Amino acid sequence: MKQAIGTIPLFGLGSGKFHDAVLFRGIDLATLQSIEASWTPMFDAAAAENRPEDAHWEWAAKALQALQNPLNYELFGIEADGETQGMMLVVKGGAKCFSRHPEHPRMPLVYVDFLATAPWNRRGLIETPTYKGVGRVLFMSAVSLSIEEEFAGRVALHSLPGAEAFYRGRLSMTDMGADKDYQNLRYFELSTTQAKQLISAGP
Amino acid sequence: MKLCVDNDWLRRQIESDPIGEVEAGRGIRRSADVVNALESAAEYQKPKDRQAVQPASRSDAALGLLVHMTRRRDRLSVAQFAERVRVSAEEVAAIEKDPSYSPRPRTIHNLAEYVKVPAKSLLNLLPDAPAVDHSLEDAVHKFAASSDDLSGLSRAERRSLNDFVKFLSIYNGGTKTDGK
Repeated sequence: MKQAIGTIPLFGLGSGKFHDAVLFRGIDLATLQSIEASWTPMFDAAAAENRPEDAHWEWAAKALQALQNPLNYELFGIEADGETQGMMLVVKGGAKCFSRHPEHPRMPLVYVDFLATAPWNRRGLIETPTYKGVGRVLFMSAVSLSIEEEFAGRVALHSLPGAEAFYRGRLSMTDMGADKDYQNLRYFELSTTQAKQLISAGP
Repeated sequence: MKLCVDNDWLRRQIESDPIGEVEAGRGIRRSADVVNALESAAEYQKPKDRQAVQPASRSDAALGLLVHMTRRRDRLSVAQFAERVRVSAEEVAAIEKDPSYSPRPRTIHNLAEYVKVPAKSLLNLLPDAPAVDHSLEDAVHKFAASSDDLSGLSRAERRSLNDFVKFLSIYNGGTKTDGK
């Protein structure tokens, strides 16, 4: 259900050095409980006083049980210091998995349904985030999955406004404009050529 | 799965990445958001949801029929065909029986290799593929109309299957083919 892929580096902004973290594929109830215990109160101060009841976890456990061995999606997570540092859900089949890029229209790709980092890693929420690199590692997991699925590294996503510069500038994705069918978020694609260039990129 | 880059690559890139936001897609603030996202992704595999995005004029059974007739042409059981195509027998059965079933992309790739048509052409036969032009629909309808479920292929069925495979092998969906 939840399997370690390997140890990856995250940059500790407090310590000024790299720390080991573990990249996972899949999810378990403990991950969900860690999100509820650590992430939610930082997003919503009132949430700490309204912790989910047992029925919530019974529902979550049943849902996870039913969602084992999915055919068309993969969930990735990063853990360090006993906490979930970030998560990403990637979809491998369906209407969103056809390229809109002029380089290869309608070719299959993987679509990032969500990429989320822990609130303590977000510049928008905290002045000095704990770790840098969570988004980079999760995104490269999506590229790796795309290669594994024989999609040549093609990846698509809808960026939140604060992250557009990262996807456009640092990951060299093509900005295909605001998508009126997705809350006007800008739609980005990493083409086959861009994926090759990204993987072979120097510092 | 193995990461396509090593930890030295990650360290170099992360070091020069600015401290900034990286969030994409739906907002995740609590455990229920994660479970809801997973359920939405899983729901998409169910027929009733795929019907909603299916173009009305697309023939439902084109891919299933192509697989079924190819299998009959080669006189293979579902299990034997699945072994040749390197996918599970359950998935071959699902493709043949459930017109709204969307196979794994790798399955499409392997099927295309077996039938000797570009994978891109087969992608256009999926229930959730975006509609492109009428030539594909015409070819699908003609192919579907010619089929009958007998044990071996009749001469007419074999001709129809050959014509359809020939059409798929040159069909480019109105765009340049990429050689795949």
